[in-house]
Amino acid sequence: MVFILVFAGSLLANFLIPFWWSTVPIAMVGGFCFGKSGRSSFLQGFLGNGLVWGALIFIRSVRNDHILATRIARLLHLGHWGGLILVCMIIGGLLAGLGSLTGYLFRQSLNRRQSIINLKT
Amino acid sequence: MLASLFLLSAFIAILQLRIGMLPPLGGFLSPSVGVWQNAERRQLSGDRAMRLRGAHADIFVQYDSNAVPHIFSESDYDLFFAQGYVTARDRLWQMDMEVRTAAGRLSEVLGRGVLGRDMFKRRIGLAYAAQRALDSVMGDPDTRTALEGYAAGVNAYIDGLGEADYPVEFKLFGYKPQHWRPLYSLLVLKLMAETLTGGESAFKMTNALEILGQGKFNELYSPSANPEPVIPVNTPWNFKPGERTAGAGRNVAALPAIVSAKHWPEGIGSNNWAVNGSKTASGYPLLANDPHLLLTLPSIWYQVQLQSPGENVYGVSIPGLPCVVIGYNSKIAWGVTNTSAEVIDWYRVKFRDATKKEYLYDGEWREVERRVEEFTLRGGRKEYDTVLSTCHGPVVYDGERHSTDQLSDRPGPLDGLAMRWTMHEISNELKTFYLLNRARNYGDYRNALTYFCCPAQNFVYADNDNQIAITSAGRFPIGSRDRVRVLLDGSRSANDWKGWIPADRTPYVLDPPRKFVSSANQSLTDSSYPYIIAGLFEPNDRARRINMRLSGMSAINVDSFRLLQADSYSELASEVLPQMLKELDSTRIPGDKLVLQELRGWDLEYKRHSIGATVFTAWWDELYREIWSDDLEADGKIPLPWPDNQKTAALILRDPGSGWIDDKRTGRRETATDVINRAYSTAVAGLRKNLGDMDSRWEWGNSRLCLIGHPSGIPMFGIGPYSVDGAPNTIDAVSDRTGPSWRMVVELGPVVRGYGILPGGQSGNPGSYYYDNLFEGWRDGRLNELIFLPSGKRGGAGILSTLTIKPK
Repeated sequence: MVFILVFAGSLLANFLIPFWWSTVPIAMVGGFCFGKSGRSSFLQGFLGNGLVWGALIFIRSVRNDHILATRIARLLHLGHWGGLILVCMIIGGLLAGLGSLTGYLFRQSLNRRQSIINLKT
Repeated sequence: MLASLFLLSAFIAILQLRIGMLPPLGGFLSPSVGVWQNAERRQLSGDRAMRLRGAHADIFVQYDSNAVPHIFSESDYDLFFAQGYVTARDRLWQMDMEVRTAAGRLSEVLGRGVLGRDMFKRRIGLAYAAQRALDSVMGDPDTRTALEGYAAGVNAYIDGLGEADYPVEFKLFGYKPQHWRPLYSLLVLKLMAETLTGGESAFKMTNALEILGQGKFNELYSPSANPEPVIPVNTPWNFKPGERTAGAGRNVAALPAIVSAKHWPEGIGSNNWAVNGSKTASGYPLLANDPHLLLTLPSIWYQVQLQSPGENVYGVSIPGLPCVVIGYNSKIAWGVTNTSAEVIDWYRVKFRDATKKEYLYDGEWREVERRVEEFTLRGGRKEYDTVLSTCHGPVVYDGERHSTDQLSDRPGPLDGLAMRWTMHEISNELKTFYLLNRARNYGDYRNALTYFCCPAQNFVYADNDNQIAITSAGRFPIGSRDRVRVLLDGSRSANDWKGWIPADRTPYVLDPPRKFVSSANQSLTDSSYPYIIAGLFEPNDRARRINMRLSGMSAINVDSFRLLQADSYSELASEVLPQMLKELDSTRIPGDKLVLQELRGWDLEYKRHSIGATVFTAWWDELYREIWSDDLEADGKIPLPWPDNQKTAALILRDPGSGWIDDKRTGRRETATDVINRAYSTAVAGLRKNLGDMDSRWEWGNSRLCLIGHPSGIPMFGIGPYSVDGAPNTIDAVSDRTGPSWRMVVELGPVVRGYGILPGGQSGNPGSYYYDNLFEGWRDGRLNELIFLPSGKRGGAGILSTLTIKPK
């Protein structure tokens, strides 16, 4: 569920919200509402946006014959354009992964506080 | 939870950081706003229509298969509006960079590291000159329309950009494009004027005069007789010099020897020529031009076809400047080379006291004008520089830290070095291009050139009436009688410029008897020309070769000219190599004789696979160094100019026992034979050391590192090292950094046909296929047929897409 939300939300956000970290609030909401465990939240977020970034970038780069990706990959000492796209996917993935993890942990801490309050009453 | 939040924030923060030269990676690599937005489709996209504020009527821009825009408009204003728009679309960052360079505003975006460069630019006054010329250029309705339309077009493009759409360099360096102003176009012009005429050779020459004395000075530096000037010898002049021609006698100001700054670009040249129809296959004239400049990506030139009810012209433009600079229309074709004429004089100014408020002029103290220049560094800090100005122009060197940090020996505490430069004059060079674009005949061409001031250029011309011509146009100062410029005493009005050679009397020739005209940066006229034009003209190697080949040609077609532009035959080698080989004692040569065999078998052409070219060049360079270093590097501190190849060759061939050839550092007396042999051994040993044993590494194309660089210095945005034919003193004048920045051949006739190629491409986007798609054809000496659409006829073969601009 986290995955689907992050994937669909981030994809949409890439076209509508001109901020490179637009995936973060979406992933946070995803983790908060649907996160089952820390590990799964992180992984689903990571995959969700990693795939979005990877796919969008790959499509653009293919239409460009990877001319720009090749130049930038060499500029950043990554060698091949594939390496550059991989780095982009990891960055995108980490953004959303950390986002959904944070969202999940936030709910957990609220729940804990709630249960402490419940216990007290 | 807090740990996770912290990690996330830290991650985002790091990706927002600018680390060294690296941009903030988060934004830069993201698909929504980052570099990926600049990954243009390999194919030109299909037809598009858009509404733009500023356009007056529908404008059609058709792109051909090399991404050249062909603009169809209903008015001049719309024409230049569209030219500004499409040029910005392809070259916005380059335009922005040119303006910042010329205006001394690079440090606003690149920081303190380039402040020295900025201050120098402000001192020599490119921005000051552009601002001064603005009123006059805007006062002319034609050029006003061009500048205003162009600026509106550039701004229409900028206003339509989101951050995601900025050219990749803006994203890399983290700043935004600035709105265009008519002034910026003039800055671009002034930058070209600086490239072609800026310099301070007078400093080194003054050192030489002081140290060597007049006699030896003349031996080494006075111009060699040139049997092949731009205007053929014995061309009659139908005027006598006016009374004001005689400049004052020189009066060198004694001065501590100067180490000149190294701010000026290297000397660069060009070729152009045209032949009469009697020498061509078609019966109509043919014209060729290849301007040699520091090669860069994005390419220096931008091809464009401009059509409005008043004109239909094709050629190359300078990004940032409306109109076509080199090109052709249905009636005429034209091209330019640099005249290499000296249009700067340096004056030593004497200040009254350390406040530098007054300077001496004809026995009186005159007030120094002061202008404070403000520099806003990246980040907002301000710096200031006070520029002093005299009747001779701006004081570029005054002993103050900023301007003279390149000078090891400054002028005395009460001295300044001021420059008088035609670039500072109020002028309207744009009008020349505006008029040339719509010129129909020789009269129009001559009239257009009367507006030209700086940089003085040789404008070659050919038309459908079978007329060919060449004119050295621009302002040539009437000043010192000396043909080699040295520092002048600025305290005497006798040394001032006495006006200009009138525009109708600058060197020119129409339809010379030899049926062709040509120029290759050599001296302009023979000694019968009634005025004196000083200059650092290039030896006539290229001119000699061009003229020899053109004389022998008949039934010329486009391919003959293409091959002539790619000619890499060395006149220098043909002159000196036989003698050098004769003097070489082959019994004393160490090692095997294979190298010598290569040299003996060399066809004297600088082809990329030639080993002979590499060996000869190394040998000649070593010989040149051997001959002059003992004389001109005596104490290693005071820089002196070195004589050109022509003088050096003349010594070896005609005066082998000369004292110049003798190495003064040895006890014995050397002759040409000695230095030729010694130079050979040293050169070959050097080649072995640097390149290893003789194999493909010794080939000319592999032995040197040719690069086409991006202004940022990012190697991945440039080309090279690459292997290519040609050498600086051959017609195909490719050096490691400079070369033909545009090659063009035009065949006049009922249907005018143009051929051309850029060492790069139309696009300025390193992510575009069209950034460097023409490079290989350029390197291999090919020309593309240019698509010149007839008036009013849109579409046709080769047109891939149409952009329709509608008024908003």
